[in-house]
Amino acid sequence: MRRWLLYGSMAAWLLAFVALLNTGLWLKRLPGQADHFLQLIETIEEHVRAERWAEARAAARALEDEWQGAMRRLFTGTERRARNEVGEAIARLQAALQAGDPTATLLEIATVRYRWRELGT
Amino acid sequence: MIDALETIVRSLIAFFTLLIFTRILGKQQMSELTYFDYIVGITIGSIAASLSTAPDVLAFHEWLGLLAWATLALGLQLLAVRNRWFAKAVEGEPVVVVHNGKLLEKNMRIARYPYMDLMEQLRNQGVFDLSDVEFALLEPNGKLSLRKKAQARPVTPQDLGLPTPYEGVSAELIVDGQVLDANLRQVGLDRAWLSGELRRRGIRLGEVAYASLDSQGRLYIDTRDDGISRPVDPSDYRGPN
Repeated sequence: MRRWLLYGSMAAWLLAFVALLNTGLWLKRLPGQADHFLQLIETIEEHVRAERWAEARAAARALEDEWQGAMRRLFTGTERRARNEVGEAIARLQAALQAGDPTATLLEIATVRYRWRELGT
Repeated sequence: MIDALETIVRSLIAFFTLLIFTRILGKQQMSELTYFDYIVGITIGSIAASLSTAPDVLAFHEWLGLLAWATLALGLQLLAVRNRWFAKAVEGEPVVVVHNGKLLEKNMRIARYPYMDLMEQLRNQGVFDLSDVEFALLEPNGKLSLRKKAQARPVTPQDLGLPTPYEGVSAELIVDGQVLDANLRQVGLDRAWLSGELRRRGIRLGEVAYASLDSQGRLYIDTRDDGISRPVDPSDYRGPN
């Protein structure tokens, strides 16, 4: 009995580690909520296509805040390099928005979206 | 801050995963490991180190690598226990290198075992004359097992035809002042008996560092205060040790 308890607790710990190491997959969006990060990217894209630059920049700041929050819950399940790439892509997006360049902005939006989808996989 | 926290969490996961895997992998002593076991151990340790301090690789992939190596090692162990042919293929088997005082050069060549190593291991076992060796076997873990010739072996009670009593194993009853009830029950005794024995010797339970009972029923008690005012100190060095 005690032997099974020992092996059971070992298995439970290993499963907990698996869960913790996969937070990159299942904590990108909080349980029961939509993926705010992706939603903000869509919002920025809509504003850029309608050339509403001020609103797009405000949404990019919100995206930056969302990213800071996400990083805190995703750090055990993602690579540091991949997290740095998302941060870098957001910075480039903000720079493109500052420049008011629609082509560059759409390119950076695509990059941020791709980096976010790849994060933790 | 997050990067530091990440290293700590990854290290904790690597540490406890290693602890669990080594517990599952068994009780083999370091000295009993074959060369392959040793390399597998190093590889598992290296993956765990990488899981702990290589943040640019996805931690779960490192962890899966750890799991794969530990599972393979466990699988090999289980197969080796159940299948003798497989055990011989994977772990190798002993090679006779000395027979009746004669070196078996062909076997030594096959095992790639140098004369110098043989002589060193013989000396380590107190043999300085090859002609004293009846058999010497090179074990799969690289150790030398030997049987000296009868003339070179110490006399045993069996040689003299002397009867010897069964010695068995002593049961630990008290360790560091704590009574081990399970061991007491195993030898068919209880705390009342133990308290009586201690009282008879004028010793309180808290004073006992270690107590055991041998198979002849003799109780050995070591108290914390051994009454030795000046223990023998073989050191002539006055610094920290």
